[in-house]
Amino acid sequence: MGVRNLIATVSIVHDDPHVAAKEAVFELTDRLGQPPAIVVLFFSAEFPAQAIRDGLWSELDPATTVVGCSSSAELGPDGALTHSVTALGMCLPGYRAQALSVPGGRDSFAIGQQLVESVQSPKPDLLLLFPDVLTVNATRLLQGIQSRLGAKFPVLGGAAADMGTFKQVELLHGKEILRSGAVALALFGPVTLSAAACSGYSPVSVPLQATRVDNGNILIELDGKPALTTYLEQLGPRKSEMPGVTIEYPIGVVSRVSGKTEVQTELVRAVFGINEQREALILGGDIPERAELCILSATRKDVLMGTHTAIQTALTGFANAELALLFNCVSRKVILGPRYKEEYSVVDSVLPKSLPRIGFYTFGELSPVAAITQHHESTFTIALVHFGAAK
Amino acid sequence: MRCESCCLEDPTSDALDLDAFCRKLSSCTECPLLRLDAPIPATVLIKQIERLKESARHNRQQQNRIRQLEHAQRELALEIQRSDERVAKLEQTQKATAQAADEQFQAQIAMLARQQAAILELATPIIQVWDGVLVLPLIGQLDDNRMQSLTENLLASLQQKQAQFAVLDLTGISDLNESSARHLYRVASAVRLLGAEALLCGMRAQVVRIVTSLGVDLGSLSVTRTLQDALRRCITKTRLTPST
Repeated sequence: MGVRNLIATVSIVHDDPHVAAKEAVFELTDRLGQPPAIVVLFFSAEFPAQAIRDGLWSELDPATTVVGCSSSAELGPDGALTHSVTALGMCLPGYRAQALSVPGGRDSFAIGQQLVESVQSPKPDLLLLFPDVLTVNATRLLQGIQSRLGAKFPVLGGAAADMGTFKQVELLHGKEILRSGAVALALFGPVTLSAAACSGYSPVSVPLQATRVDNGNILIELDGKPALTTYLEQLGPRKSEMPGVTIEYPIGVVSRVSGKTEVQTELVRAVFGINEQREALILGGDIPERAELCILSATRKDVLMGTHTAIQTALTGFANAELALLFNCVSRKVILGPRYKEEYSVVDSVLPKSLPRIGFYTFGELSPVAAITQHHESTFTIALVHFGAAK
Repeated sequence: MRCESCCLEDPTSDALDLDAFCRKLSSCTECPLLRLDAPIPATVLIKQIERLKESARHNRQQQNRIRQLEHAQRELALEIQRSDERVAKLEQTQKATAQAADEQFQAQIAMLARQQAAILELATPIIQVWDGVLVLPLIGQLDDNRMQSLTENLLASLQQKQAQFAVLDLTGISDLNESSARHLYRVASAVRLLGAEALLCGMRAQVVRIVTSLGVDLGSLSVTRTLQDALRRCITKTRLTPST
């Protein structure tokens, strides 16, 4: 008799995070028919990680591999929820998993390299990565990982989030709680993926050249003028809503295709903050200097269309998915406002009903595009996973 | 006495939900299996523990679903509150904007009225070209308002300046309707009633055609070809007047 992969996802809503975490374990065990060997969980940033951790480990087998992080809203089998503990439990016979973490406080590239160095040999087949982008530059973290594992090594995940205050996120690695750095789950065994990313944003400004960029993500000058001034000019009357409005107007790197201006959706950068003294924009990820940039915007319809496009792209020619991982930018939730659950209706309408799914609203997404993992922002990413070799 | 098909042992009773199962069991008061001192077979016990576990799980899931719905309801209530606040703010803004727009509109109406009065004033200039000789150069369309204003101003000026002649110069009039033609006639009659003489000059062929086709009798009025002729006539008549 062949051994089956057991995969289940649950979402528990409870005012007591300790109970919510315990119930998540109960439910996973019930659904899997046995205790999970691997747990990946996303919990509302309203909950303290400590209560989640304690609730979880009061029921889990000590040998369980656990990683997780706080989120702005969780995506699970019951849709998009806030105030939940949403968990993925897996028993993958023949597979090995290792939870990894590196605290922040040093160069992001080095954190990426260190994370890979802590992986037991041999080389893993998949990495689920959950960084804290408030202390780590996700672009360089990814570059550090790719410098050791190669550009085509699959990395999936999202940046841990809070409830939109951009102040503090929490990461979970086994029984350890981190408030900076990154956690990851390395999976050893054959994995086949179909990933896609789409933002749905489009330019609302003329193309502007990044004439001065500092540290990769601090945009000092646009077209030779202070970036902040130029950005505010482009915002027009909405500049009075600064800084909150920046989440609705990310920056996109544009390329010109046969004379037309086209946005490379894989390179959308959220404006995380401003430096008034330097009149600079602080972006969530790196952008190349001299690149042509546009200010982007999206309507609710554009956002939903982006989600639909990404799912359809991932599903095309991939029939044997066992799990769907969804990492969706928190800025999209802001644009959709109270109707943010509509985006999940799109997911539900396109994905097969029986396919387990999990994810969260992130501060940045990590997903391959054309087989190379990139750091995205303001983007909906989906990865369909099959635990086995490609046929 | 035991039933032939005991619901505690019968595999078909597994399909019953807990409520139906308990109702079925409640009729088994005579069953020796349910006596407190009776040993319960392990298979029966295990089956019933499984049933209870399943029931507990179902209950847990239902409670979770209820909490999810309650939370969604709270989120919705919060959103309605936020929405109400936004609507109230918008209403306030709209009220203020409407009030400001109304004030601006009223101010514009007042300004327009002032401008219209000024235009009317300018549209009916009365020039005293000589002692006792007033000239009214008329240009453009002669509507009822303008004719009314012209009449009032002219009669006032005639009285004020003790003028003997009022020259109505129609050189700048290319079109005339029946009402204006009759009004013009009435003006001339009013001038006569004040003891002055009205002279019409500069009538274009088109205007003459209109006047004649309308049957307005201008024959009782002094008509000259040009303003120069009219002024010459006034001056001549002024010289012949004994008092000058």
